[in-house]
Amino acid sequence: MNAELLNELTALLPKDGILTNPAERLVYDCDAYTVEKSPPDIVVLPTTTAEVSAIVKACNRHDTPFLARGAGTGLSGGAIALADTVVICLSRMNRILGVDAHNRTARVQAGVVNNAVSRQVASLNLHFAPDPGSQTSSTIGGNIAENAGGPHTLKYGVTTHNTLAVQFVTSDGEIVEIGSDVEGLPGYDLVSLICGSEGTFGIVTEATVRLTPLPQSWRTLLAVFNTLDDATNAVSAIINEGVIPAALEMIDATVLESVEAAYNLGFPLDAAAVLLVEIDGLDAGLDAAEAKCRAACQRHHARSVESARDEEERDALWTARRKGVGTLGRIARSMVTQDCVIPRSRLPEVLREIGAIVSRYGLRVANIFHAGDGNLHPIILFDERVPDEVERMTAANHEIVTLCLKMGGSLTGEHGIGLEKQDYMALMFGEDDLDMMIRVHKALDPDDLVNPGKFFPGSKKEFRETPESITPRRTALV
Amino acid sequence: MGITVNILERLKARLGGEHVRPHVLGPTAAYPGTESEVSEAVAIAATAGVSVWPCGAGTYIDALEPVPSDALLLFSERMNRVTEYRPDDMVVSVEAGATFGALQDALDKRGQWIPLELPDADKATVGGIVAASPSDPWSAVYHRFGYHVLEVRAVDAQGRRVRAGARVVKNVAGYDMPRLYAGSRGTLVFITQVTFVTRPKPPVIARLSLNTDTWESLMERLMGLSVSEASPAWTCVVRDDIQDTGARPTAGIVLAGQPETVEWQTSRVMDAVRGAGSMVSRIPELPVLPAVGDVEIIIRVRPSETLDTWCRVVHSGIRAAAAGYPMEGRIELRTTANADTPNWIAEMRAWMSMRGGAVIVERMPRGWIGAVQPFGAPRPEHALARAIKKSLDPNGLFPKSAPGLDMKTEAS
Repeated sequence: MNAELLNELTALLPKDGILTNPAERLVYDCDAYTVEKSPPDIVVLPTTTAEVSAIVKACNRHDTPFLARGAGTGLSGGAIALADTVVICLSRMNRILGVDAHNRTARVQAGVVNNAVSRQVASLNLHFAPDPGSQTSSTIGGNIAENAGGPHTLKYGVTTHNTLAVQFVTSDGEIVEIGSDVEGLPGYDLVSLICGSEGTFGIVTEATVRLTPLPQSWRTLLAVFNTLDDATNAVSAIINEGVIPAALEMIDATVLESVEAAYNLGFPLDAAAVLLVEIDGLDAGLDAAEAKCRAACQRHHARSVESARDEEERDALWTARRKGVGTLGRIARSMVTQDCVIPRSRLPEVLREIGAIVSRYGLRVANIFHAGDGNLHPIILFDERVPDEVERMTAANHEIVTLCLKMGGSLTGEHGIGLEKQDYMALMFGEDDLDMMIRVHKALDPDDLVNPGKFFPGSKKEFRETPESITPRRTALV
Repeated sequence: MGITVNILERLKARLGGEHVRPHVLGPTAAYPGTESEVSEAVAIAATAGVSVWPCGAGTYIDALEPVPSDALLLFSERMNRVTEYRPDDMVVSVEAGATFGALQDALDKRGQWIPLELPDADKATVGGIVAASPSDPWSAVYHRFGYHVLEVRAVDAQGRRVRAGARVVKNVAGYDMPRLYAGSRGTLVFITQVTFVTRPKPPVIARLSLNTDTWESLMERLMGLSVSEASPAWTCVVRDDIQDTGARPTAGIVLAGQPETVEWQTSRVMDAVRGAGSMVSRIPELPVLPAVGDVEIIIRVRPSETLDTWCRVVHSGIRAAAAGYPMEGRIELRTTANADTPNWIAEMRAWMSMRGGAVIVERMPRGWIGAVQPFGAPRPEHALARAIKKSLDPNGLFPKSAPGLDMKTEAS
């Protein structure tokens, strides 16, 4: 621990704004990617942008790396501190600063929890559209860093589509407003560049986000299929009907089994998969859109297609989707959630192949994912107490990632690269492609002080050795 | 005085003599047919210190910055194929020189499109449009144009072939370089191929015309409509002072969706705007902003300030053709330059500075270059833009015609 830096930070912040004792710091040793852990040297809890700026300047003076942390719900290790890194936790910057109902924007601090925004503006018939599985705890700053998605982003876009401007503390501590609530200003789209940069350029302390009108009406359908092939073929068929659902999610038999065990919601236990289809908008067109979705499912041999009759039934369907991953703990000791994207039309063959890969390694897989986007979340179930099961899980995971890339897909649709997938980047991008990103990074963080060791292949440095530095259990909110 | 004979010969050897057109007094034009040829041409230019100007249709090539006589104009027009179209995945890849109209025709056969209202779609190239990332009235429904771009293939300032993004509809692997390139106006890379996400084309697109007695009441009604449950896709007003048609103030209202939805919306619009002196009717096409004059100006404000700004423009005495888009907060003007126009721009900018908006000059006469700032006052974020430009194009191979890049025409 750098004593001089600690003295400077202590002078900048109130006593409860700086954590140095080991017990307090242990809470920050990982995010929701718990495979690797590393307790930070110092955790600071600023309440203003000026404090963040001063902290960053102090870190610069002492050539000390730093990273921003929100709620720590990230799934790729982006908020895990490497050795000698200061963690700047923004959870106390949690105020909604203003709402402009006419222009449908809100100004929020980075530590505001995602669904707090929607709750605040619900009376204005508006909401913040990105709805990651972690939306009851993840922060807007974290959503921006990871470019978070969620089930309803199929129609409403991910975080980048819904972020207009950010207040940004640069790598050397300057405070800059980037973007504007006036849209269409000329210039490089730096807001989009910052969204999804995984906190490697600087620190977002405030954001102006777009608010979307709540739909006038909705229909939520549950289509039940006897085979995975039929379910996945129906996904493309629905989109081909010219309907863009608000959400189009798939849940397979393994997840249904655990959901039923946990909640007894009445899902069929003999089905291979169900599709959860939500369409919304003006009531006048929804019957026709629903009919198209039903017809598409029936063409692919859905054995039933039922529509939620009221909010209660709708909530039950969404409970299965939102809490499905959590229920898997009932049928498996440990699990690891993958996040890849493939072209939607390849869903049938890729799901078959994933099943075969995992079986080959003697493990089970559960699937609950954003089918409309082709954003897969295969969850491998395993028991770390069984000899070599962790190794088999790791090998199966590797094959799944390379399969998705071979199919023309992407390494990640919403969880990010972080620590977890940095070495896969070289499989997806060529050397020159990566060099362009490195050049952009160097332009904005020339001294490599902002969240170092993440994102780029081979950038991970040595972690501090701790007894729990390899913990093979990982849960995920997808 | 043009580029050297040696460079010319090297370009001809790579691209074929018929695809390199030297000009004694001006820049040389080259027409590569493949990404590989673009890469070689850029590498030759980079080695020789010749600046490269990426060109699509070339209509805006010198709109803001004069082309140096020893520059190499690199046209993409021979690279015009749709290289991959997967309708089931709603993904299409197309070379940069294809016209946007040809791309839309290909998509239309499968009931899909890329939402963009583009009057000269048969001339404008895909690469040029992505580089410009224009404002678009459909953005209220489909987000900004740049968000339709999934993957960009390009040649960088060293002549390297680079790729950014992925051909899938959701992706967070790597920095969002496609959206950095989109809207960068050819200042960072030469775009060779673009992959877009397509959308199902709405089964019905209805266009309504609304007349009222005054521009103010017309704009007011449109702004009310924008936030009403009728939820039009977009609305606009068009006024032509240059041709002085004397027409009654008229607005266009666009509704899009399933037939039942549009029918319901139409009745709601009729109810909402009915009143003293107003008339609503269905029309086949909306009025378009006429292509007049040698100055193009775009004013951006918050949507709620469109009415005030429109009134300010209308009563400012400028003689111009103007279109206003209240849902976007955008006003476009086309006018003929005269001695008062720069003052009008300066006054408008001063008024706008208190409202956070901007007055952007997209085209201006040569005589203004160096005297009129196209993008208005510099913003603090421009320092970051300059750092990125310097890192990706350290020798200044590509143009500087984007905000913050120290153009001669911009205040530092």
